[in-house]
Amino acid sequence: MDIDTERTVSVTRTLFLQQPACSRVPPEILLQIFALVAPNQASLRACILTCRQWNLVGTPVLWRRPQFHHLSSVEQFASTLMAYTSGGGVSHYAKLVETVSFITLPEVDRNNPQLATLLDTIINCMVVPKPLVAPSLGIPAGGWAKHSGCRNLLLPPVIKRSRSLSRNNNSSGCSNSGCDDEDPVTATRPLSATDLQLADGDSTTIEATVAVSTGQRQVELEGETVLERQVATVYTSSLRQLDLRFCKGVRNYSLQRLAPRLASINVLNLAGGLRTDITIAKLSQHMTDLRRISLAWTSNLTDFGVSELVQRCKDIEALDLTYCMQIEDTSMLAIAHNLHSLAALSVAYCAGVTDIGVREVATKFPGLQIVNVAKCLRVTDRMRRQLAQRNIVYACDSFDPFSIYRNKLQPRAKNIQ
Amino acid sequence: MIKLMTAEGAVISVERDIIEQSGTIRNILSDVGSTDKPIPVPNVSGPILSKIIEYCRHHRNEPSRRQAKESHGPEESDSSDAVIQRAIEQMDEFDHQFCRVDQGTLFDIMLAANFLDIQPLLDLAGYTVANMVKGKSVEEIRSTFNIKNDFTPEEEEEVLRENAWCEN
Repeated sequence: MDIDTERTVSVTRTLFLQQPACSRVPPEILLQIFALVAPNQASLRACILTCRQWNLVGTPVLWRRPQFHHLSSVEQFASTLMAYTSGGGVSHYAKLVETVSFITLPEVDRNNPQLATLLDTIINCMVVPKPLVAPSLGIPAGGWAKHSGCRNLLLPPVIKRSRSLSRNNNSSGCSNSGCDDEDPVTATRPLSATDLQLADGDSTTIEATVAVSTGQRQVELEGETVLERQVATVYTSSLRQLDLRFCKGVRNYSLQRLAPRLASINVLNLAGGLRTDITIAKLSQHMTDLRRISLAWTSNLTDFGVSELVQRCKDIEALDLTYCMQIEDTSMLAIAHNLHSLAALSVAYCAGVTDIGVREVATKFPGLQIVNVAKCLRVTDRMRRQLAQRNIVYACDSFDPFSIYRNKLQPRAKNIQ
Repeated sequence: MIKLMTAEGAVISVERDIIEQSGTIRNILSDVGSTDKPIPVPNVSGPILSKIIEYCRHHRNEPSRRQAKESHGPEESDSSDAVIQRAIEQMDEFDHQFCRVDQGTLFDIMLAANFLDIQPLLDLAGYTVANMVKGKSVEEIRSTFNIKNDFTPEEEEEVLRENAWCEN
């Protein structure tokens, strides 16, 4: 190293050392600090308003899991997202949001029907249609790209449309991109009139898209109405956790309508929200990545709803059915039969669950840590002892294992009785 | 004894088992073997290095601390301030005293702990900073940490507007 370079280096270092210490802190350390500050949202907000660097590093931490204390702040959050969603793209801020939770709202706000509208706005600002995966269907990528291109033109008002309207849109969209000839889907289905062929081609694509995601829906889809086919586009977003615990304001109808847009969710908490079998069935059709779900205090839930859920969402690791009074052994058998990697299950207070169902679940999953059978009147002490022998916790008073904020289940130390 | 050369070029000697709490030094030593030459630590000034050696000397016989820290990042808890509280309770009296320094020194310690890869010290300083931030206004944080407001008025207005939803 010659003298000049050496001097430059030393001058640079001196300049660097003269900066205030906080601006020399590398982003990864700032990030660690902000992660610690994050639970205290007001403090984190203050941090990101201090200077550019702290803003740059802290903003993603703040937006990852927004906390709301009043309905008005949800409103403001939704309108901020709206304001930055321009030209059909997803805004920088909307991409940062991973968890939407209303648990910090007061009860009266959680039961306010307006919450459903706001949730709708937030989710719609976050989602984008998922790019089609060509290779899995063995169809040339070019054709799909074109096809999804003309689908994109139709996307924004996708929720409710008549068939005739969609056909018009289709013909204009497709003839613009000129995909008549190369369209692989329509090519396999010879049809008579040109416009009909295009319309049919489009719904086939949507159908096939669903098939990509669930792998088994195609047959059932044939029987569904045109309206549902139109809705069945696959969406993706940054959303991973949704906590609608005791949010009666978000009605089942709104939730069902949102279902396709919630496909990216891993963790869902619907405890105490008056959900029904139909709602659960509709949701589970789309949430193929679901890992953890709570349906505690869902008095309307029956074995049908649970079976639908576990048949579609086979990767569920934690399932909370505490106080679902209508659940019986049929649910337990469905759980044992369908899930791959269950680690925690709670059927506390479910009077319909017996030893037979519990044994079925307990012997199926090697990684099972918790089967909460507290206050299950028809589960015998003998069964509880057997669970204990397998090192399975059979009673816990905490809902921590089912919490949406845990990324991984922690083994629990002992049974609380 | 291991010799370390600070940013100013001064050489400080320290027992090997003490400084081996630093992952960086541990790696250097295992790469080059025992050496009489001073190991340069150009990012760390003399006073800060003394502070760090003081910390390592106090936690000398606690090999468990060298293990990978329990990840507080992804494994987040529901309750808001519980994590910080718990961490602060786990600190001993020495740690509390150790962190009673001005914020400049504290950040310098963090930088050095980061460079030297001493995770428990980095955590300690991190919790301390997080605790200092708690409950303060924007202006108070700026003055506490000597932060220069480098937003233009328009930018400042924009970030205020964009984050207005979390005001209360």
